[in-house]
Amino acid sequence: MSTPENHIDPSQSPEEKALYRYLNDEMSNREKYAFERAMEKDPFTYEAIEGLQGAAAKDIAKDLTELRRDLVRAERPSSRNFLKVAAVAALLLLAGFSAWKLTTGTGPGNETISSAGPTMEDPLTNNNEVPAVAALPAEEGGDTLATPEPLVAESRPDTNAATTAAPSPTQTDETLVAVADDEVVDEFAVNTELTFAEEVAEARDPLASQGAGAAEGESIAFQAREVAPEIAQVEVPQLTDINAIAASDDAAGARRLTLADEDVAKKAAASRTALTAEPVTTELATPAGGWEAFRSYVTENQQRTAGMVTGEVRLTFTLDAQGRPQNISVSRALCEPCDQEAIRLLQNSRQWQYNAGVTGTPLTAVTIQISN
Amino acid sequence: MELLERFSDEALWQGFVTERDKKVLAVLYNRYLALVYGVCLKYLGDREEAKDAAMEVFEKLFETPASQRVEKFRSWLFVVTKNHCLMQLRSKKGADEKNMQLFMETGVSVHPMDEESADLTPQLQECLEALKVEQKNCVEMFYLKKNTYEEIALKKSIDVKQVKSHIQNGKRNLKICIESKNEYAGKPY
Repeated sequence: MSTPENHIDPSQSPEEKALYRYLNDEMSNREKYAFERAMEKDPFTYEAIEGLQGAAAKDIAKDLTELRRDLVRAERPSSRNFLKVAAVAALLLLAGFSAWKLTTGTGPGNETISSAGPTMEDPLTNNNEVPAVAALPAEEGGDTLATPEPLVAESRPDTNAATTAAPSPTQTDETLVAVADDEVVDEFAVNTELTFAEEVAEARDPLASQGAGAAEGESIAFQAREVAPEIAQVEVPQLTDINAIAASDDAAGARRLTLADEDVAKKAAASRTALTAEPVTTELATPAGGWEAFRSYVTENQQRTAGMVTGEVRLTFTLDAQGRPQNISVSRALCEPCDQEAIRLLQNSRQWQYNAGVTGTPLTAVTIQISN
Repeated sequence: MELLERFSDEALWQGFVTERDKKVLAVLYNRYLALVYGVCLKYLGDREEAKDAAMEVFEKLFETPASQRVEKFRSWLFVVTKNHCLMQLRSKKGADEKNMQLFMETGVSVHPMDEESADLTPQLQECLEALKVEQKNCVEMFYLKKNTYEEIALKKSIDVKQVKSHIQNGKRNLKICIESKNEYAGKPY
């Protein structure tokens, strides 16, 4: 069960990692017991495990990878429908073009191409109101990366936005997108001036009426990316780019911010409003090194004293300017020595950091696992 | 950690409801993808169907009206997923009149055994004694002696599935027993 290729991709959330480790039978008995105890309380995990245990680990890994890919695709609503329409249109055009070629030979068409080209390109390029990931005409690099209003706490140097490592993949995209667009435009121009525009407009209508989040331009860009499979890959790291920004203040990270990220940052801001509007129920801060490191710190440093029981202590606290927990109080007690130990562990933990978008020093919470 | 990953489920859900942004929903859904897929696999028993169902659940979430109250995203998603699978099974079997019980998002009531107090109340003890012997053994070995399912299975030389079902049934019977006692005593539980 523990051959490497049989392993499920562990690069997921701590919860999912634990799930995989349980399924892969990589847990110590102690961990396993804790996992099973938690499972008894949580029907979601319980039933999911029942389902997952019926399948081979590598099949699960494969299916989840596929699902994650579908999920990324689904973020761009109706792209599939659009693709179908676009494919049919392209075929028709191609057929029309060959027929025309056969009947008229060569020559007079060239002029039409050059004159019609630019006019038809407009609807395609102008419609990028919502910044598509890679479809920005970013020849110069600098301007397109212009950072949005700083919604997030991290600083974002606006300088030297030009030459970075990151833009290079995007640039290749653009060229490919551009090529794809040009082909469409050319084919169209040679064939009939109006019909394609109509088709494009038609294709967009259903999208717009569905109230789909993405703008039409994006879908067109997406279609172009679908055409060249290697470009489609670029979408996947899109969200990971945000990591760089969230995780570090360094200029390289900030420069990777594309307009698409601005979109995401806005959503984050929206979520933040929702978050601060409510009284504390959730974790607003993260321990340095992440949750997993914190959890292992807790298990490794817990001191056991008489009268301790296994369970969870929930604490609320705020952070001081140095990220040290302050005003700690017990919101869900377990037993007196357990609570004291949880407080001690929190006090001695490494610094904490409020999550991006959290303003002020609100109360945050943490659950500490105590074992006897 | 992605920027959006730092937000709680409920904050992301709120963000999605106000903005209707699939990207936000996708980040949220991604956290539960393995669980949703697992539950679908349990009920549908087929990988392809489970994958389709998982994507359908995602679409369903996307179409959820803003008026839908979602107290705790996690348990609500479980209910949505499970119901979707049950509906699927129902339509496949064409047994409409056979009313399968759909689940509601209930206030999560923790089973007395899953509460964190170390010792059993006398009442619980009494009910435990009244259980069938295999159930009692499994429940005790799991909750009191802190054995894993596998350890219990090895010690009792039965398979893990049986261990789990003994524990489940034992817990259910315990709950019934305690509730009837409380009722009898006229105490609100």
